[in-house]
Amino acid sequence: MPSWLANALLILPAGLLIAICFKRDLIEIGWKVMAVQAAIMLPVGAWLGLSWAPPEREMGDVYRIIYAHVPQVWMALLGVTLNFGCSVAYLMKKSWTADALAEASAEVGLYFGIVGVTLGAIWGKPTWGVYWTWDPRLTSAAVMLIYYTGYLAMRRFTENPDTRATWSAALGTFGIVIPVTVYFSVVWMKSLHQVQSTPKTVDPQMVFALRWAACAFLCLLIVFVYQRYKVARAALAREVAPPEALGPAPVPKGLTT
Amino acid sequence: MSLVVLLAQADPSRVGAGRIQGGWEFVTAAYVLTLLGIVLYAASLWVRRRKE
Repeated sequence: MPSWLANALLILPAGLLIAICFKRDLIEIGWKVMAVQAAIMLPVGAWLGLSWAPPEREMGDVYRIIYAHVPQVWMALLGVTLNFGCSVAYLMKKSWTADALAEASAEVGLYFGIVGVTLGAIWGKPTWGVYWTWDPRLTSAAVMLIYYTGYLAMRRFTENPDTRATWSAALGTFGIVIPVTVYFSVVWMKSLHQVQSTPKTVDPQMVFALRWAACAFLCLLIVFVYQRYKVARAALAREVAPPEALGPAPVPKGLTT
Repeated sequence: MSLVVLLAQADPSRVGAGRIQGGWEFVTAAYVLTLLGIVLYAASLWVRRRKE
């Protein structure tokens, strides 16, 4: 299978995201296209990883966890990086869209992080002999999960939307240190967890299956973030709306309705 | 040549297959957990969107 085909799979989600930036109306059809693409690609990706890709030289078939573990950790890192971008955007522009998107990306990133780290623990047992060890990569990933759990908890503590958005944007901005540490921990501190593989050192079939799975999870990430964003916007609209008991807002003198 | 390689050449029978055998139960657990996670998180989003 040619490797360019796996790269070509990214054209649809990437193209749609770029098109949505220029034409916002496309988002409603765009997320449905992403959902359909994810629904098709995920089962095919599972088949590629479980059956089509060859076994690994040392780990045999156990390594097949890679096709679920690695893409989900990548999506977690992408989610928290998006949270950083939205946090900075909120601090600069005070945009409610950025605030809602920051909340959505943090939650979806945390979801993928929890599943990804759990899958890593399942993979650790047959290969390392333990489910968990305080390796730098595992420790930094655990810190990331705790940090973004705290981020989401903090958003619940504050009722004032302005204060909540500002505090969480500050927290989200500082939080970028963590995904960077998670990614480079295997390079900076050589330990039990292997360093990142490159396509040059891996069988082309493995590369294709991994890229396919990554693309499928990317579509899923987009769908989840958009749906969670809608939930956040609806909650925000409810919070800032005047209570029904007060009736409609008074019309200032000199203005007509 | 490293000591490990020399020892392996001296008595190959004491060297393992160099490969993890089986382990499909771990693979199955990982894929089932992934599927469960997707279904549960999607359901939670659907419920929350209906509430809003």
